[in-house]
Amino acid sequence: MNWDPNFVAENFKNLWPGPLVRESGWLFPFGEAMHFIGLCLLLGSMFIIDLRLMGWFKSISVRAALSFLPYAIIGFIINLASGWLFFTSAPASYLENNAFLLKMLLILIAGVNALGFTLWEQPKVIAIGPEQETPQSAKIFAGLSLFLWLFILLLGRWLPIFTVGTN
Amino acid sequence: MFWDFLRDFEAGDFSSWIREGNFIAEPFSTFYTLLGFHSIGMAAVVGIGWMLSARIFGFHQEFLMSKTQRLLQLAWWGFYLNLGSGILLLMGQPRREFITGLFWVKMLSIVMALITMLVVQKGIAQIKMVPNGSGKIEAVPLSLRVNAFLVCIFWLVAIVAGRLIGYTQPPPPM
Repeated sequence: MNWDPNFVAENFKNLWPGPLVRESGWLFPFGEAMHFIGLCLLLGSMFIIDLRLMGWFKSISVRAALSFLPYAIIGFIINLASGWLFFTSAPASYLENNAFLLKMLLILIAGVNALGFTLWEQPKVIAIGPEQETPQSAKIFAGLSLFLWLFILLLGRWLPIFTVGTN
Repeated sequence: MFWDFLRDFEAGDFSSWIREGNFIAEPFSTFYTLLGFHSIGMAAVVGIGWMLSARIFGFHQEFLMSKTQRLLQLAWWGFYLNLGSGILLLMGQPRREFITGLFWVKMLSIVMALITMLVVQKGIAQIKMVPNGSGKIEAVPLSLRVNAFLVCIFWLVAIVAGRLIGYTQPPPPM
């Protein structure tokens, strides 16, 4: 297999919807608007879930907070689809951008963190009611989650700072 | 005269620092750092606004609206962060924003979203528990649902208009 960055980028460039985005005047702005809608859904629900688990917002039960999780999943799917649209439009400029690479790594870590919480922590905290304290381990999972998503958002906005300039 | 004042202001050190300078250290440009804070504020105020609206529409019944004061506080802090960073971003290129129609669409949508959010907040404070079968539920009046729907729509328009501003005309020459 050829792992030469230029070869990889060239292959991604031909994937759908890359050529369509490059020819269209409105697909990229449309994708950006969708990306922002997705991030509001994702972070809006993560604020409720993570802050409850961290103990900042104890007036509701953990189960009630976790019921907002589907919005995070919908938001993430919207962002994944719109992100793919951006990436295939100019893959080389993303692959050589350190902020983008770090953003992808942090999304991966956030995913592992979410999986770890679901497998190990959720069964222990799901029955915690209003005004009850969550365990320290749940607070750590939630704190890391909120920090990661906010940093991922910042990195997304900082992509132009780290753009190298080729396509 | 006001236009001349804006042009002189844009040529000044402060406005130039926002457009072209660095925030604390290189390579973090002031403009993109402010945009980052602007996005965090947006995620808080719009995201929490949408989640509360979902509750008002009748989803997540176990989530008691009478207990959402701290959450609403966080949404308002998100808005203050948005307001502060937004004013600074505006000071970086006021002439360009003022001649862009979408900027005014965004401003109008934000004002309408804030007014409806205040109405929703007042409505949440007045929610009463009513008997329902063996227990009690929070009774949500139709007017509150309509206002929650408007909050969602106005923030949606503000987000889309805000994103599209970047695809309009470049700043006018100095």
